[in-house]
Amino acid sequence: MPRQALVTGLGFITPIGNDRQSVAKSLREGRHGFANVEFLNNPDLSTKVVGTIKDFVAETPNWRDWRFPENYEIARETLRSLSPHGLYALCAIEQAIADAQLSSEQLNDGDTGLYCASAGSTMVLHHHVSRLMATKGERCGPLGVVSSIAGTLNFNLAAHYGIRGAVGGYVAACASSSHALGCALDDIRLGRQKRMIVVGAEEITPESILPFAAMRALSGNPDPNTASRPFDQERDGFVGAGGATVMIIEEAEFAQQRGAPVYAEFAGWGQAADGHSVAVSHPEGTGLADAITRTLHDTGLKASDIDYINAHATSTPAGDRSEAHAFRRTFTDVGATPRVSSTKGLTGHPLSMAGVMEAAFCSLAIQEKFIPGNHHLITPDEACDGLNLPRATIDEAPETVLSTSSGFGGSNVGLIFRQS
Amino acid sequence: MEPSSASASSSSLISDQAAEALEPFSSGVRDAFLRYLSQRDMSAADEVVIAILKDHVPSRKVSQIPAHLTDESTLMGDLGIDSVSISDAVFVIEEVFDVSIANKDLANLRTVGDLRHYLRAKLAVARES
Repeated sequence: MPRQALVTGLGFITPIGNDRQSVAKSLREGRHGFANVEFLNNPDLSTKVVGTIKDFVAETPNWRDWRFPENYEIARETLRSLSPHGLYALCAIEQAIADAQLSSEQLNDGDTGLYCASAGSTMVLHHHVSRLMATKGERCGPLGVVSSIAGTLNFNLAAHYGIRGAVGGYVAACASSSHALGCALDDIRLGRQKRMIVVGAEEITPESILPFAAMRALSGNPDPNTASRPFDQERDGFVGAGGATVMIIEEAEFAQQRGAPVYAEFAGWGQAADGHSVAVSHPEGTGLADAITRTLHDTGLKASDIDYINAHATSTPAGDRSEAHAFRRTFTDVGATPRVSSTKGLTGHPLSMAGVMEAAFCSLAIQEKFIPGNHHLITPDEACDGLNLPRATIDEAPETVLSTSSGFGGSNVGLIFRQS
Repeated sequence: MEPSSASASSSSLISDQAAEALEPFSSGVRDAFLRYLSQRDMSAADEVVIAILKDHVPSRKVSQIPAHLTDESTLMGDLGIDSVSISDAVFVIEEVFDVSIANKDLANLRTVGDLRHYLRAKLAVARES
């Protein structure tokens, strides 16, 4: 029998909560994590809402300015090479280790690997490159590279925890941490690793969020209660978000031998690309439909076996429509009617972190027996005809859950979790 | 003479880059830097260098090092500062004193005394030029 993987630990620093209990409560009760923001003290900017990170202050490149909850003890030599999203990630890993009933010493057994996903820290990179340019290339903080470039998470976290297994980073924009999860699952199935830590993290800064406004991808709606409304006719773009989410997955026998707590089985995954546009999803959702088909094939499940889909839907007009077409083709057209919701209506879109955050939400939903609703959805786009889009949370245990992700360049990923 | 707090006139001696680099340090360290600038007091420059080094000692090691570092203390062995952190400490020293320390020179700086004497010589050359 092929090796199975179980989800044994979760950690969250998200707009809707900084621990598992708070996140589950927010998902159940439909509490969003949005607040108004004025980037760069410029009231003329159209971007006025973000999914904020509470109880942390990390708005500058200088680690000495940062504030975080007292229960996290982080040495200055560790902080020095982190960016703000590295700080969030470290705090989320600490939660996940405790949640999985592990000690940090167990992570350097060589059987544990670490895959991470983030866009890096454009703010910290900007800070260091500005100094470099101001000195005509003569001087730049020596930790500028490891604290800022894509890969900063794996550089820092692998060193901090002494990880000696597979370590690497994934860069596929908003599908990145889903790729990280899928490849982590493959490593476990192939017997290369017994335990994988998967991390997604992003920060909320003018440098990380506003470039998406230039792409006309962000919502201009100033109301935190309605700015992010995936699948709604009135949606006008995504709401940026950040934080960190960590998922620990372990080979089933290995996890059972040590009596690990189990959220769900990570049953399979699949991916396919659109081959269409650098930034916009294929209008018919062809790549995502293929990814879903491959994910079902990987698990040996049928469309009708899926009880709930946590959709990538970010609240952009083109992306949500494309995703709805993919769901109609793969589910509605074969008579399957899983519940579909996008939790980005509560969290906003944390880019590279979205995949693992939503996979963790799915694991929580399975363990805590609920199906998150589409809390800000009023009038569904006509592209959603035939889809089952619950508005409120349903008190029902989903047995099998699909989580989808799509990133720039048309990368699409499906992940399936089920009751173990 | 007691070191004075940074006054507006003496503060103007400090470059923006030095002020930013020294911002996390105590007023005593900033005063020492002003003393170096205004009086060319090289022992005051030493004080600043020592403070920058101590700021790079790992937290777990802080309680183990003496309050007054000796010239013989090795940066990596006795102070526990790894090579990456030494690079960072040297960057701060470069920013504060507006000097450049070449890789080939850095490789020979093993102890507190090595660094202190090297910087004194470097600052003397900079002053003459």
